[in-house]
Amino acid sequence: MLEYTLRRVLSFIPTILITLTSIFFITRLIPGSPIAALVGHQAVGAEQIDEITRDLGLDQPLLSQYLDWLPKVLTGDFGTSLFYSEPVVDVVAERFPVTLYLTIFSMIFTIVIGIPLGIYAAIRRGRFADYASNVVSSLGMAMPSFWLGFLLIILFAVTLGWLPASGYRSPDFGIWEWLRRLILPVAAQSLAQIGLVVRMTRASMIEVLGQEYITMARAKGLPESRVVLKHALKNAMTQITTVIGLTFALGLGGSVIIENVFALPGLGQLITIAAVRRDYPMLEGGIFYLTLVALVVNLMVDLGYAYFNPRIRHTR
Amino acid sequence: MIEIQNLEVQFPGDSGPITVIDDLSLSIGKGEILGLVGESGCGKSLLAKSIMRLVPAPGKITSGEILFNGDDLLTLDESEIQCIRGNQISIILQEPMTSLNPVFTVGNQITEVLAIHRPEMKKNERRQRALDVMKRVGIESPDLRFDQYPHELSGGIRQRVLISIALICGDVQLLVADEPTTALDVTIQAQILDLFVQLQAEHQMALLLITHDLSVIAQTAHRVAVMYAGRLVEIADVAPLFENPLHPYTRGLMRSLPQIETRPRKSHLPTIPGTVPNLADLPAGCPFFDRCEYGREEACTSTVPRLEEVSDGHWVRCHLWREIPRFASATPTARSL
Repeated sequence: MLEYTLRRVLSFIPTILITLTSIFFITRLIPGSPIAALVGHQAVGAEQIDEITRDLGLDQPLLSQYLDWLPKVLTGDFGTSLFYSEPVVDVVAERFPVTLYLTIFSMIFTIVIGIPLGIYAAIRRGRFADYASNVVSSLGMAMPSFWLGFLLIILFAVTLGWLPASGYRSPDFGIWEWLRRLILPVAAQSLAQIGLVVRMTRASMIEVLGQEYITMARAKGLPESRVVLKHALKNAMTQITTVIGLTFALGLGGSVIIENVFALPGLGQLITIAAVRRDYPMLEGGIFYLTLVALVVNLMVDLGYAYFNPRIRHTR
Repeated sequence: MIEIQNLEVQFPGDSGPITVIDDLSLSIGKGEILGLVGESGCGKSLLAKSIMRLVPAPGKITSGEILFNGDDLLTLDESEIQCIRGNQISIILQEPMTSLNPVFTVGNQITEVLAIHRPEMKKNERRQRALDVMKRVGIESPDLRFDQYPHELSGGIRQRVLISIALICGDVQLLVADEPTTALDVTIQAQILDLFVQLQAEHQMALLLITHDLSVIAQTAHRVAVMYAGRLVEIADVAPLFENPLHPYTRGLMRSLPQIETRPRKSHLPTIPGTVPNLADLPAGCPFFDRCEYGREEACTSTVPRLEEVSDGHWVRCHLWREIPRFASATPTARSL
């Protein structure tokens, strides 16, 4: 198991290199330049623009910019944000927790609701509960999360007035103040994910429950709960873990939308703004850290596989 | 000890339910070994599962009784039948490659039975008992195997793990063994059959031995039941059945047995022409008619034959059993096997 983990961690290195390279070049492919965004509507002369361009190193050929940039980035130095005039890493560190809370809570919510619901639908296959869960999960998957977000705001913030419509407070203001601003975003984020997890859990549970070893487990005299929750679920978990991993990665992407809908000052929002302003260092740093989270989650998924499936654990 | 009466199992089909086991009655006494033979698809495995109420969905036992020590297994509630499964009645399923759960160790899967039925046993006692049983069914270095996963084992060892699971509780009264030795090579096969015979003698365990292999039946069983298209077609003690098989299907099975010949073989191994009929579309009369060498229109195609007692304990389901010539073939009889 340890060897397996180490091998997976080592495989991060090429992935990170490729990621960084793509981030760099894709960022530069965006039309427009940071200078235009920086100077905005101020009247500046061509000389001044040239000066800024030189300061930022943007006059260099792309390849030498890249070769200059990569070693620094590999030590974690993404430079200074063009707009915040602060080190990128500091800005990211400040925004990061918001995104992390949003995705982690959505994930927990998704797992805690999605898996049991999927199991239940599988056991009650072809009956009312199964159809009901099918309708609800299809609906959840079909609704765009931003639209769902607006609906939730209209209902819970505007009409009922139970929860704030947008904004964020850090936990320092008190747990409740912090949590209540996360409830709606988490709900909007989770609903589509829950649909996916329910369907996947249901499908893989149904497949597993038809296997001969399940008949065998029953033939041993095990109670049905143990047959389902021990023998079937552990087998189904391999597939469910995959979907959860994918969902998480999608959720990170989705946070860009949700954070904008709910005005949450997270990484997603930061990246959106940085992209609009062509704030290269900020954009690169933000995307990189988001990618890093996705990588770590992928690793966790792979370790989850190995935990649930001894055949993977034993593959050299 | 176990008495199956008028068992009927159906599966839903496109045009109404399909009867997969039809009006099947069978009993196995204490300490008896009953061999059950028939082609693939005749309902043997399903019968095995029916006894433990494990008919795979959407199949259903639609009528009949299965009396086990006087109780009807079909009317017990779920917790009562769970108490019996794996404890008093055990089953060895046909597929050793897929009957073990891939994500749990062998030891876990064996001792789990004890955890359910012998909750008073301590963990190390369970382990010890498992190791003993594993050794007894011929698993070498059981303490190594105990912590392995099914994918690390050969088919033969998996089969023996399944047998260990079936026997672990120690006082199984009826063992249902569905092709228990098919995956094993001949020497191991003999060991396992010996073990069954031994258990049957020691504990008066009854055994329902399902197999394709008539020689296994001849060696081990006391009585033989022959199934065709979901029905019993013949049932008799081993010796009379091998000496005087009455049903044309039984005869066909026996004729298809390969023999050791002293002279070069002149012809192909005889086979029964055709295949098992489609259960959803059974002909009106005898389901074996199409493949039967003795069959006659009218006599065979108008009604389904009933099981008749020909002589003491020898039953056959054939309209023409009186007319067909006495079985004379070079096939080995029970004695010569």
